[in-house]
Amino acid sequence: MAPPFAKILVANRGEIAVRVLRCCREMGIASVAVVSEPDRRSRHAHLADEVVAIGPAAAGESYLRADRIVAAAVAAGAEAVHPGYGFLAENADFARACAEAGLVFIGPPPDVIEAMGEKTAARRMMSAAGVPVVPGAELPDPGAGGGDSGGGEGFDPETVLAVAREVGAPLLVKAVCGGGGKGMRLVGSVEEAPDAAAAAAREARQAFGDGRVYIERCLSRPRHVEFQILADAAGAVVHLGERECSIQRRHQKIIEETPSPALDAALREEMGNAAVAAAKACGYVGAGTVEFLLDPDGAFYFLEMNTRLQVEHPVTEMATGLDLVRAQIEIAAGRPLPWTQAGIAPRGWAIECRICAEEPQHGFRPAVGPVLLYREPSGPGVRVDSGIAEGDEVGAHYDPLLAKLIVHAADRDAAIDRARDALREFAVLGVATNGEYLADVLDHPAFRAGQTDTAFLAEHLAGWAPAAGGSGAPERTAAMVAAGLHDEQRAAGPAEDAFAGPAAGRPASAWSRIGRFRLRGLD
Amino acid sequence: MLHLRFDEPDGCRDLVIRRRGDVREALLDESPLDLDVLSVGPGEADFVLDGRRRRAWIAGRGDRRHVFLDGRVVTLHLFSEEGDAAADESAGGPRIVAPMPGKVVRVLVDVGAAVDRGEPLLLFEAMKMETEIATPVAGRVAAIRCAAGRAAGLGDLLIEIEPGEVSAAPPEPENGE
Repeated sequence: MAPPFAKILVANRGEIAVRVLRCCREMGIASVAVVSEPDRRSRHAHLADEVVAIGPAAAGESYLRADRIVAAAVAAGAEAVHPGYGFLAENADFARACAEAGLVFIGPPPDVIEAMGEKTAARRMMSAAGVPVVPGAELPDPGAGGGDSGGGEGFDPETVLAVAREVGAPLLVKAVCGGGGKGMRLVGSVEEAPDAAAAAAREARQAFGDGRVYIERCLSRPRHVEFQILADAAGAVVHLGERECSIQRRHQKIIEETPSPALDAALREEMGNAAVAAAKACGYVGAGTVEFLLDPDGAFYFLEMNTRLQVEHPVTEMATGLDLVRAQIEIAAGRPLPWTQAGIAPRGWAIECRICAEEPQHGFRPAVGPVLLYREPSGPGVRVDSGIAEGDEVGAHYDPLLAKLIVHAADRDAAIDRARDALREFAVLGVATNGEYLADVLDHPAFRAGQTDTAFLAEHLAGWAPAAGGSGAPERTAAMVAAGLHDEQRAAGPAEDAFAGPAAGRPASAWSRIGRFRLRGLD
Repeated sequence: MLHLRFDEPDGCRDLVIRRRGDVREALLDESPLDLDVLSVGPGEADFVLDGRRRRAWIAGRGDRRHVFLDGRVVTLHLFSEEGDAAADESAGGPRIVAPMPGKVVRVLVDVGAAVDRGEPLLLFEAMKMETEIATPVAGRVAAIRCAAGRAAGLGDLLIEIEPGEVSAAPPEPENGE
């Protein structure tokens, strides 16, 4: 079949831009990357057929500049724009601007983005469609009397208290236009609600330009289970099974898997049907995700619908064997879904670990620095979606997600083993990452037992510290020896190294590796 | 021969690597180590130490050496004669600095205010997330070097604390929320 588009612009950076650009190449579609100043030599820029510089490092001056991106797409002769996730992916105005410029926005229609982006509107719509929602209530818009963007904190404390009492503590204050844990506050007692509402509103206005918030009951130890759906323009909708995303820190997912250890076939069918109903209720087109909270008692509630490709989409791809980005592109071109629900049969178990530039032992503060050394793991059932390469500089301007490790195996135990071993091979040096922390989560007996609810990290990993941190540990001695050998080798030069072969000045050749295998055979 | 002096948490450690023919020997604080080197390449070393096989990835810049060993990263510092001012800051001295590039949302204390250890000093926004920055020591706010709405670079001085006893029961520093 001919490619559905001749040329696509990818309006994103990092691993997701790499992911989409690879798909374009596979499909025979010419690609355009947009880059900020520091991303000129990034991995995603290398993969694209054309690269357009759209501004300085700050996202507000580059990857969030809808006008520059649309202009770049038009100038390059692109037919469609893929937004990835984050940045402009759930920005209805951007989707409209694309359409007005004659570009196909690879995502749902703008009014669907808008409806699902307003969490309160989405709740009302789902409730009407018979999809259960978390008990909660809206706060009256404080901006009504307070003028423009400056007035969002002006909640009347009495009103907030009244709403909070009605919903009941513990509760969550959430931004109407929020996502990714931003603009969200957990409130233990009703009295804290007014302060939390003001803080959440401030953060939401910073992040989303909209300070409206609402209140939702905070379920005790729920699981976060989401369903991937695909819908075509003709109204056909299928779901591709669930993803268990309960391993979260401050509402940021770090490990996802499919299937969920908490679902049996009956519950999967019930929730899958609800996800399909949710997609139909809002007239969805494209790839989307319906998020549910799953109570320990088996009740589930609609949380929100994400109108984009999710970070964790690869676990679904590994289990179903389908390519979600390819599906997005074909649906955007008006092609019908090639599958029926009965034809979708997930197999085995898939797990994703998000490798982020951050320091878990220091409150997960984002880490910055040069990527001095970068080695990806490999092997059967191991996939790495990465946006970085050796020599890159990780700055503070963007999301700390560097790469995703995704594994697939026959069952959950085998998948955990595979993920843990792949993390042991995944070397990133120069900028701190959460790799060791992720491996310790996977190794935890409670994770192994499938006891993954949203309180998992707080309960089992609080106070985590790197194992080799203590002085006198054998790891530190081994590290000193390794550093000594490294420095000695550099000082001596490769020509003197008996194992590097005679190729002075060149990197270790394949012959030196064969030497190593022989040695391994001897012991 | 190569000599490295590491600045370890429990004091300096001296490592010597020397070659006799093709064989490398290592001495830590003048004691020979049980080491068998299998191969050393750019950024990697493969060896047996005390009977345990180790495959390490190594990267160095300046006085730091980062070593990846079986999934764990060990960062080593080479000893330098000059005092380490930066270490004082990261250890949470009386100079409160920006932990990452970002913006001051709101200053929560006034100059002269008494603060307990763990008490929030300011709201800081980085990567679109608000975080409270708390004082690691009890004392008095000596100076405020920042203002709400101002951007701050990594390591920029925000607030100075004059350490001193304020109350008998300092609260535990909170980790996140």
